[in-house]
Amino acid sequence: MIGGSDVVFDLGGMDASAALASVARIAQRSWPDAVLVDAERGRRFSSYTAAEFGTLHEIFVFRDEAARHTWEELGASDDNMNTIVYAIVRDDVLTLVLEDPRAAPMASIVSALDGLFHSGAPWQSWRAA
Amino acid sequence: MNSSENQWPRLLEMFHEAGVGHILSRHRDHVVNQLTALARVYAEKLSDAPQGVLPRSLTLDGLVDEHRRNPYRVAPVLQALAFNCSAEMLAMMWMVQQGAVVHTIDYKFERGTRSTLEVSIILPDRTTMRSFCSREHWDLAVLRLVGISKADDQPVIESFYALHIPPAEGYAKLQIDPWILRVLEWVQEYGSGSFFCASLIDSRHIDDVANATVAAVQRGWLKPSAPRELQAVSKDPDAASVAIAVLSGDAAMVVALTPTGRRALRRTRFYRILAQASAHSLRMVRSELERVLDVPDLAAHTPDEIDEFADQLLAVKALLEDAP
Repeated sequence: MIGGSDVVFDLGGMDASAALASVARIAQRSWPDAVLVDAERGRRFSSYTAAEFGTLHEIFVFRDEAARHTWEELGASDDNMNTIVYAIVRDDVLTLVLEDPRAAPMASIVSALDGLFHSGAPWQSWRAA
Repeated sequence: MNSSENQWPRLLEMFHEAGVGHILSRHRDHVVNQLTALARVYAEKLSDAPQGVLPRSLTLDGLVDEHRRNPYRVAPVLQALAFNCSAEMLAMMWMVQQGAVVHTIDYKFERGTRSTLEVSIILPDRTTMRSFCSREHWDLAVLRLVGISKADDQPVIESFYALHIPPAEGYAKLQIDPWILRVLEWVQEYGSGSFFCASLIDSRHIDDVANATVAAVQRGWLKPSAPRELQAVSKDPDAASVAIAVLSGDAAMVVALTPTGRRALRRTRFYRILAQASAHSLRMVRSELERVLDVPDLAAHTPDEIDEFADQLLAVKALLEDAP
């Protein structure tokens, strides 16, 4: 369904839900109207506050509602390039599926997450039991 | 902090999961007071905020529910509480964990004179700001939990991240089953004013005291490597009795009495229910309670039924306390 490039982060022991929430928060810096969707069950969260990350392994972050709509209606198209971040956590690894990691704002999102996971969050930080 | 039901056992699990269970075991009143203050400060700060920007209140039920939905949001706040952070900063952290963003952090320190932390945040509506200020030096610990990053070479602080805190020496990772939680509830409910602490410690710190009398138990159960504060309890001449019970392979419940002197010793029958099994297993504790309560299989009963048995236990305790 989604092509593009994979950007892989070693989470260094960070809790999976914390990592996915970090993706959402960092993306929201660039996309203030971002829409969060549980990629496994299709649940659309009304806001970050209302989101439930505890059991998530995959999440879509759309630039806004319009982007979500076009992705659901058309899939990838020329009109919705770089308007989605698809994040997957498996086995202590976070994978971002992006169309072009070098394009704005993807490069900024990738850079911020890279800094956070490598230096900014506690290495071997807490994780849910 | 309001709760529709007794959330104490769940709270205990949450603190242990965050690696700071000891704070609840040792300083329960402090934790309760801080959670209450957190709820108060949180509500005050949001009293005139736009409707719907964040929940207006924080209850114990809400805390527990959020832990179920997003445990990563709750753990840093519990750790900050354990690090002695003020309710002002705990409220700030809670709002950030819910989606507010850190706008400014200003910390000033002068040796021996001043330690001031000021934080301003922007609520999820992206316009409403709230400021938090503290002169409590312990609040500096908030900065341990900050997630640091940069975006486009600009500084970013988006959230708080809990530290990985291994179980402290003497505190086992808990495998709490419902039956044990029920016992803890009894201690909580019926032990008010009588118990110095109810804690769970690693059974490695406990000497075997099979068939010991309570008098022997109170002096014989701690190894030199046991947590310092528990040793202090055992050496306290006013501590009339300390009873323990091994509740699983790894953990033990410790019950220490604050009442002093002979009167406390007269209570020992109740505590011996736990203490007699101290060297062995949960099974022995359970069977002893089953014998006292005349209930064949306590573990097979529902919580409501066990509550009824707890009432009986209370009656037993009262009877023992009144004994000459």
